Amino acid sequence: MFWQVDPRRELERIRRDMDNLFDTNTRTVSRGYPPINVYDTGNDIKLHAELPGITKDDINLSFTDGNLTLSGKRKPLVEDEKYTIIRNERSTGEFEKTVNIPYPVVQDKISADFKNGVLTITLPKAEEAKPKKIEVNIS
Amino acid sequence: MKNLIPWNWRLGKNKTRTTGTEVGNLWEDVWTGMWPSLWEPVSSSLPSVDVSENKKEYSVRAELPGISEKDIELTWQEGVLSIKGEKKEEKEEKSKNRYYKECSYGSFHRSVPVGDNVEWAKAKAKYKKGVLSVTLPKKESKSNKTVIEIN
Repeated sequence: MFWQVDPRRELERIRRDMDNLFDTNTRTVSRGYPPINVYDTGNDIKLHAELPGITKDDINLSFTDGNLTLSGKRKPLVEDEKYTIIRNERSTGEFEKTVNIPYPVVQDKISADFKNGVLTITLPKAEEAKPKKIEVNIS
Repeated sequence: MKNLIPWNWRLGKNKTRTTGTEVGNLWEDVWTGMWPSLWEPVSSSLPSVDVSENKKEYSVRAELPGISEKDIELTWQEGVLSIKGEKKEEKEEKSKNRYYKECSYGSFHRSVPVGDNVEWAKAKAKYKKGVLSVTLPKKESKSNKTVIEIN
């Protein structure tokens, strides 16, 4: 299709960027597919990625030098030739996204769970990065 | 920023009117009539929709990751399928320190024009892998052609 840019989505993107500008809770905005949330639960760093209509076999996860890379392929939802496409908004093709994880993590304990099109990755923080409670004796 | 737009402007044309006066209604008709899609609630959680058809049915597929089935509402009116719902954010996530927040949450409403020749009573929907699939069987079209005999 010639006209690939949806002006409404572009406006929405600007709105989101503006909102993020004033949202002190959000430090960084990255771009590209898939949309992710990254947050700190104290002992773990958790990442949510929205990957609807994708099977887990089509997703690759790797972790190197503090960077988590999510890559894969979005296949068309309907591949049956008997169907004629009337409207097609979902884009397909390969994607790759790299996120820097701000804490040292226990690499061999990284786990992932995929449910309802949402991939949740749990990265346990290394012992030295975990929050510690320090007892101070008052004499 | 969306809040800057008077909220009644953002109403679709099928919504209840808030302005009671005739002039107000007329004004609303002018605005919503000019470019209806512009007045639908715009949200980044607006699901992407694919529509396809074959001889027997239409198939509508919407990307709705991380939603529970009971939070989706489907309605049919004059050839248009409405997908309404709410995407809830996990409480755990909300309260914690965030580094990235690109996924959006809240309510969404998406209207998908399909066509009049649909048997809504036989429509089926399923939710799998974050994708909502709605199958809308076409009405069996009886030929409208009648042969008129000439006496």
